[in-house]
Amino acid sequence: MQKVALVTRSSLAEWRSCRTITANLLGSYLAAPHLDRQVFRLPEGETNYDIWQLAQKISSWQPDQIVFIDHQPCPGGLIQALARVWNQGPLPRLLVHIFGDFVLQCAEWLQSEPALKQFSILWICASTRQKRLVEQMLVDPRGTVTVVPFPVDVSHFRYAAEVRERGRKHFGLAGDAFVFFYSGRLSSQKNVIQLIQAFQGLRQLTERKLVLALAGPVDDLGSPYFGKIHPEGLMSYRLQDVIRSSLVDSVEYWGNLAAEELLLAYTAADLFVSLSTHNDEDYGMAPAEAFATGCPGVLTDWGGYSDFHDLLPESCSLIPTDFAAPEIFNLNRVRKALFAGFLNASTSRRQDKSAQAAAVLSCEAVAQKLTELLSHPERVVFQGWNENFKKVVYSFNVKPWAPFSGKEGPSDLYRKLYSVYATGEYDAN
Amino acid sequence: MTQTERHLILESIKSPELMREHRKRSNWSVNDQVTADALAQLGLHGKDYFSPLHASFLFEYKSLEAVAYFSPLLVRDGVMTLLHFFFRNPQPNEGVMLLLDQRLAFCVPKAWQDNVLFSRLQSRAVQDGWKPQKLLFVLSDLGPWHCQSEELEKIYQRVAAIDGAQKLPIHFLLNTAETLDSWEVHNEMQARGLQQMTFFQTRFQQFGEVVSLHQIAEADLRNWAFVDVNPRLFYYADSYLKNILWSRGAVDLEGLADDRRADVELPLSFFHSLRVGQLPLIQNEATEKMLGQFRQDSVLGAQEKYYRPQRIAKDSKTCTPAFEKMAFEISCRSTEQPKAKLNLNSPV
Repeated sequence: MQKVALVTRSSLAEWRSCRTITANLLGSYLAAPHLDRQVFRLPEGETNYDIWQLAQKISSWQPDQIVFIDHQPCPGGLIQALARVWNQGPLPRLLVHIFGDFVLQCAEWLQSEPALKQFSILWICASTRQKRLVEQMLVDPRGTVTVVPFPVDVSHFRYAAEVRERGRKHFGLAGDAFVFFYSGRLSSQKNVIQLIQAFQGLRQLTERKLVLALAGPVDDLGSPYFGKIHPEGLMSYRLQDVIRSSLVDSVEYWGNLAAEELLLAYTAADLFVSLSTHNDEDYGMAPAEAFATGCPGVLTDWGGYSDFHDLLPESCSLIPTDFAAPEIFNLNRVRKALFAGFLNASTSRRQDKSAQAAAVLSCEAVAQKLTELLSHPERVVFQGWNENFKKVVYSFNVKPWAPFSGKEGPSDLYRKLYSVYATGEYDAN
Repeated sequence: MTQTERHLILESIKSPELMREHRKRSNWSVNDQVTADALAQLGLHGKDYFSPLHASFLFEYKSLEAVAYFSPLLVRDGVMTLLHFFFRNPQPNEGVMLLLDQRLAFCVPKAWQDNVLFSRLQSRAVQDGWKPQKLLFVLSDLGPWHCQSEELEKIYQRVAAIDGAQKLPIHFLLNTAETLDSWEVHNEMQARGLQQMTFFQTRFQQFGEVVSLHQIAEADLRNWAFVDVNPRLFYYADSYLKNILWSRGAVDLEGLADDRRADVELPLSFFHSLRVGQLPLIQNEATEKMLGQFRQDSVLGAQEKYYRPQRIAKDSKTCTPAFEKMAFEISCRSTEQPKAKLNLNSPV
């Protein structure tokens, strides 16, 4: 039986989505059959001594493979320590789940390069486009990068007619009200303002009552990768301002919801919507959970969102994004897509759609993929980071407050690397 | 308030984009060490935040012209620095319009009455019978006149009178300095806040839980009620911390009984707004007299005039201890007088 060490940290992640992802990944590995598993946790505020101790512990357990399932801290330090302390037999194979904030840790990854080159490593991305992004940063990506979606806890997020009824009552929805629902950070990175503007144009197209419901924390992160830092309170005010100036009276804020209320919200909603074009949008935990409740969705064709269309074509439609255009998406196309979503949405097949999502996104479905990866005999030794990656590190070193900003808008490096997140290819040259 | 005045306020609200252009501090702020120290001494209460009405402290401004440029501007000052502003500027400039917390009406000299509107930042309206599930006390002790022990007891009595409040779990948020280089201020602030914490722990007969700003900022606070222990508004009137709490849905217990009608109401988040109204002419004779006497005294007046430019020492303040004491006396006298009521007869 294979021995697999699962490495995570002992404290909860700061980002709610990352907490959920790590918990669900752990659930998937625990659901994978025929494995001898042990979980190793890095203590909070870890020092080099803690890392060294953990490396000793893992080494003495002698796993065949080590899997990193948390987004922080960067595993680089632990991998370096493992290379130092490992003294019996061949080095274990490493499987690293890549999260959206992967590039934030680029300096530490680069520093760990000599140690990484001693291991065979499989980088596990959450989506196809993230895989393409990562491949652009490797000397030789062949056989070292793969895609496994982050799993959803479908024992919680699944459709039930009774839950929909309860949810609609809970949120005070009129019988025939059609609910467009966005859940996630209410942030400029997620284009929530544009979502409200697009919604405003829909109301004149139908007599049915339309509601745009928003849930999640309002955040003023701005766009730190591009040097746009917001003062506290700006996003809150901009949301109020756009709601007031668009004369939209059907935008509702349902709060920063915990899992129980989120289930009610996804189930009560008729269409999940997100226009995010955030550079860390490697997957999309909120749409994944919405799809698990059978709720159809309209998403930007961007980053990790795009895979949902391939995985669940009946549930997910995409709005094209254009890296070369002044605006990354066209608001009229957004309106059309939202209206088409409104016309096509139906509650009659929610149960089926929920089951379809579970078949590809559940912890069990993901466990099956992970089992295949763990049992795959191929071992490819890491060849190192390429020039693109080194340029990213350089950008973070030189301009940590705005690593991806150029003279006018995003830098050429950003355009070159992240063009793979948008619809079609963009030639930065 | 006339239609024109109402229109003037709404028109004067700058777009977030324009405000960002204007935010460059060096354009309008004195930006000296005294300003930096005065803000640091307020801890998180004094931290900058976005406001379409350029919420700021008057002691930060270079000149009355700069104040006029941002008018109407939302004044964050408490009694001390607001009175000091009126001491330094006996007459208003053309175009200056200040939005003051209505509880500071007693500070306004007659000459300034046409240049002041009264405002109140406030949490969302709650339905009759709404009951919080958690109580939060924002604790700070910013100086000798911040909160006297009898005022602490009054706050406790007001909260305890709320049905079921005695049994609610209590929490404490301690005001601190934000940056590491102010660690001395940070430690001192925390120590002083701890005294207030002990008081509430004793009166509520429970330990309570200390929460961090980070925890608060991340949370959904719709079931929380809070009290900012700032009974006199002596050192500040508008707090960054309170804005965070309001915008996350917490309800300010001190504002529960407020009349909610206003001439202008500007939503600032899903859960809080700014109300602006107008006061009828008020006679602040005591304030006028005391400020006048202080100004005319050859020693006190002169000291005050030249105090700020000389201050480069640690713990520098915007005014002399003598002025601070007089401001406290004005504040004490005001509590003995009947309050003027906000004119809220013309709903939005």
